[in-house]
Amino acid sequence: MTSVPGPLILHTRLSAALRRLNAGQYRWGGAGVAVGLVLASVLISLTARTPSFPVGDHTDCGGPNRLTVATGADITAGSFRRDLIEEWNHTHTTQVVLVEVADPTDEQRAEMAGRSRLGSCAYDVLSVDVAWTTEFARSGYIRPYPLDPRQADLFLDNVLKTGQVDGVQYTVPFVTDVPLLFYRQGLPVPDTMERLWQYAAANGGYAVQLGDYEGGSVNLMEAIFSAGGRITDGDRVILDEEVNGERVRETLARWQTLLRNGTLAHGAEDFSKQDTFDAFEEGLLARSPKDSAEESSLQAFRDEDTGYMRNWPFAFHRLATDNSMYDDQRRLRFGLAALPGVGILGGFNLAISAYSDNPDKARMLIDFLTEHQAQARLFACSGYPPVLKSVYEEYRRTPRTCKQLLEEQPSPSAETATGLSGREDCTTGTEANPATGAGSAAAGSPGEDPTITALMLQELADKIHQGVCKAESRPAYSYYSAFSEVFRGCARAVVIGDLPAGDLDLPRFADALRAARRGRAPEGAAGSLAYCGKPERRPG
Amino acid sequence: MSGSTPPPAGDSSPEPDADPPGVPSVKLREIAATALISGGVTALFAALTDSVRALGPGLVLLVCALIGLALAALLTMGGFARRLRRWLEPVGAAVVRRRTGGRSVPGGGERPPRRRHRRLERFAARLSTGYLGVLLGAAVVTVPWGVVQGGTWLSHRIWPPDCDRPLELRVVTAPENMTVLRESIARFTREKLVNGCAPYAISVGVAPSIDELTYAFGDNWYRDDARQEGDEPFRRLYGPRADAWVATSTGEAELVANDVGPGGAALDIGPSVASDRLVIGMISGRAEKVRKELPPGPPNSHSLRVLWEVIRSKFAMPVNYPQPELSTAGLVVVFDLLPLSSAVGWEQRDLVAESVSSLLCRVRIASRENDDEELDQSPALVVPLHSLREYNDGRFNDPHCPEGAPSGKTKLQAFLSPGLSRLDYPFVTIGWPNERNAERDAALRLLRGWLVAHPLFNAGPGQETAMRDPRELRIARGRFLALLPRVDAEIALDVSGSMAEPPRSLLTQLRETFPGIKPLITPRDDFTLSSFSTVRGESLVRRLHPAVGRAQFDSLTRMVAGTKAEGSDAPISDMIMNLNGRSGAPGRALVVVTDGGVFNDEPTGASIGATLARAPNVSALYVLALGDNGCDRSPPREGKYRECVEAGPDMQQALRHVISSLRGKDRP
Repeated sequence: MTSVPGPLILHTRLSAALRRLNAGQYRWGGAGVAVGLVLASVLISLTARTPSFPVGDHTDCGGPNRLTVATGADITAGSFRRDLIEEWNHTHTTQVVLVEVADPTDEQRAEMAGRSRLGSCAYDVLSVDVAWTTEFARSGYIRPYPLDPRQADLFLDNVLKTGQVDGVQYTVPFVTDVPLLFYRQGLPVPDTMERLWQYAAANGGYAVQLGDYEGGSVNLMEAIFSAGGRITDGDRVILDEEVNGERVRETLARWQTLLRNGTLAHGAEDFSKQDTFDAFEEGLLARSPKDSAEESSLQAFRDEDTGYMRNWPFAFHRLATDNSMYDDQRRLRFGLAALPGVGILGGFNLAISAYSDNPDKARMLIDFLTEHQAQARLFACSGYPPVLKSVYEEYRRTPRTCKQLLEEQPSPSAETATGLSGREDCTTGTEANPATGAGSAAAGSPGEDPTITALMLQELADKIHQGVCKAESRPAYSYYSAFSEVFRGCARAVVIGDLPAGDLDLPRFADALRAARRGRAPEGAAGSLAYCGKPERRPG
Repeated sequence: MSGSTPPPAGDSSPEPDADPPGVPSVKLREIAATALISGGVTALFAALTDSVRALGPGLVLLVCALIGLALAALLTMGGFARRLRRWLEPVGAAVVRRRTGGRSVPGGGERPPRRRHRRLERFAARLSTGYLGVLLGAAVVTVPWGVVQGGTWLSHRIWPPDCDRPLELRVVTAPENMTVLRESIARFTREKLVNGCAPYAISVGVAPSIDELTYAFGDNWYRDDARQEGDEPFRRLYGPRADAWVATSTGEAELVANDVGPGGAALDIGPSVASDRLVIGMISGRAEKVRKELPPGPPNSHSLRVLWEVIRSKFAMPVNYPQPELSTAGLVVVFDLLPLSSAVGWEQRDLVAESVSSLLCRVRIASRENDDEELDQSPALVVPLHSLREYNDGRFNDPHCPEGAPSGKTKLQAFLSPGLSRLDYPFVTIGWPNERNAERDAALRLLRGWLVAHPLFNAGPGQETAMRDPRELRIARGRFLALLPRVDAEIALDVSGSMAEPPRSLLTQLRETFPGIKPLITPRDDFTLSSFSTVRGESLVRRLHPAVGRAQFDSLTRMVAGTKAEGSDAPISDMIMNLNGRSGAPGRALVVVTDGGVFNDEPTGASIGATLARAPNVSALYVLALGDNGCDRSPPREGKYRECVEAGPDMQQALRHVISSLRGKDRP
């Protein structure tokens, strides 16, 4: 007996059934088919509509001649960012208002993302931390910001990449940040992490930031990257891959040992978490979570015998304006160098809000804020590390102080720089000033307030440039902050000794990171570290 | 399916001759059964849709399409109709038997159907065909689409996509409610997870004082503009814009709502999300002694007057509460104490703290540092009961405070009294002008409902009345300010170059922080402002602003904002003598705000202490040391009152401390 194919049977039976229908039934059936088609199509078109965030009713967007820039608090010396805005307002009919949300970056993000999520037109330009770029771009909060090759060439390559998401430029670098190594004058300058451990153990330790905040994540990522470990590879979390996973475990265990034996400066693990509650309570100028830990390191480096410190460039200005950091010959008692391991890029970029009514004018403003003169002044007057190659080139050749910049005409090298030829790349360096701080004599005589000289700025620019050239970016995920929190939870627990390195459950840890990067909550109760392999404690 | 069908097996009755085109009653039953099944399937389908809705529209539609197709195929197949009739045959036979009472019907067959009956049959048959047609038509569209959706759903199960962006909300409340509100909101968010994704990201922030809140709600959440210098093109927010506010009492919420001007935020004062009562707390040892002195009566039933007399008259215990200028809980305490004569006097307190949290924190630090003898002198506190419990449980989550629960003898015991108010914590929804969003409103309603169903804390029943009348708070505030000791001081700003060095200018920070002391200033206070530095080798003292009280304080703030750095450090003694020359008896206090670089600038042979002694019209010296230099080189403490305060990271708190110290409190 030969088997008949199923579709054939179905076809035969269907034909037979149709033949049995009379005319009336044909009419009703045909009408039914038509109704079914229409109903299903309508149903599908309603159901399948892409869910979009309901954009509310937002009026009072500022009008055609006003731009609003959302940013963090500016309490830098001279508030030069504000001066730039005033300068713009004096020369343009479109008036700009700078809205300073708060100092803590978490609060800045919450305000900008929250308002964008609701489709608010309150802000035209957003000052976006490089860690949020992917989130803002993929969520549709900001517009693409295409740059032609000539424009793109003006920026340091690594820094420019912090504004790219999925191959598209969304933000324009405004201020960059990269960790530097500060060391007491007379101590050897390490060129590898192993030598750093060796020198630090013999010279009062190495101050880092391991607090429970984003800076702690950055320090721990740098530790892993510097040891050759990886957390992610593009979109993939590779923490649990055999060789890599064990390298991560070993690195964390090593740091735990370094912390215990005092090579990592005492107190690094105790930097308390200061959350938005504190920050709000303490007011706009409260020390942000980032600063609190970095301030603690700074304090340790300045007041104690800590030989080495990892910190951001802002620390240079703080130390260089402190009389106690000068010796009798008015020479700085500390030097700075690029971090021997891998540093992670920070900084803020500028983006145009997706809901801005004035995107063209917003772009003009961003171009104004990122042009050479503005960047040079921001660096010399307020201490913002520049993002343009031309500024580094200018400081390599003819460094000038803030006062000189404000009083003098643009230097020849600056003219060249504004002529859109960013030649500085990662192979050039300062010939005059090696890492020993040779040009770091203070202006003025003993007893007078120290001031930052052009040579100091030259050296600082050079070290920032070196650092930026070999720095890496943080993983680019839409939910980076959740990812970072989960990563820090486990890694920090191992380093501060809350979780033995051997108990770190790498597969679960990696799964938690995979979930977190997509915005999913890790397993276990809120605040528990069950996903690291740490047993949950009973409440209370 | 309504076509001719073979007679069922075993049916020997003759074919009814009057019914060739019609439908026999067996067919009728078949149609009825089909309709029943279809109805049942539809109902089941609806139930199934509901149950799988959580799995996503892709799966729902896939299931819908498959069921429709299966049903259509089954009903269309002739085989199914035959089988169905065969399945229903025993049922039909049983029905026939019951009708005939078990007797066999002669002829055995069915009676010929009537005309109306036949019409009904034809209609039912067409309806069935139409129904199947609808299913078939729908299947043509939904099956391919459902397959795609189902595939997508399946792939998302295996490779989960990114979550949708959560709706970001901000709730503010008083500092003492932060811990429990955070925990509660974390539970809410966790309960609302969909496939592990949080639909809401809700942050919790501290609500500023009543004055500041009123300003912020009236001006789109911007901070006080007093610190603006001229027409500066920048403004400052109080952090992320708040969507909701858990107020301490309905009275507070109404007071703020009444004072917000037209064009400001609309405050919708909702139901209570917690209830609590104010209590008097003290450490165990002292509580036992007080209890012994209380007149007989049920516990927690003593009037406030009785409690107060025992605590103050018999034990001379200071009674502390948060600063009423900054804390609503503190203001409610003042309202409760006002009926007792002199209970609100400044001399009754020995600690000055701007919130319940900071007050408890200070008690905690003191209890760790004090020995038993000093513990016996510890003060009483008036705070909300839940704060006292959290303190005892070690859940007091102030990062500035030592961690862990206090030991047994330093735990606080509570005295309840009907004379102390109840706090009702209403949920206030904030509607910002020019911005309406249905999704946000719905989320806030959901959160409010959830918090009402899961209160933050509950003090249980009691005789105390809730503070609901805004007028009572307004009166309490006015009377309290009138009772504060007057301050008469000159603020001298060091404007040397080091105060404005990069990267963070201390002068800029000061200008941002300065308005934070306004709530502490009374109408009777007098402040003047001057600046000093050395320019071209000469000490230069500039008088910037004449005397101001609370009403004109903004103009003083603007003057601070407009200050520019110039020159180098000048000796403090020059400031002292300058003020001495301008003041008369009984003298004024001098507050020097500096980065600490001035301590070693005294002329050879001179000292700050000696200069102060030679200045009869300067009553006291306060130095607020900003930046990194601190008070290390501050002068020894002898002679007139001198105090150096290191601002550290919290300049605003240091400034507030100086104001309290000027009033004679909070001195070390």
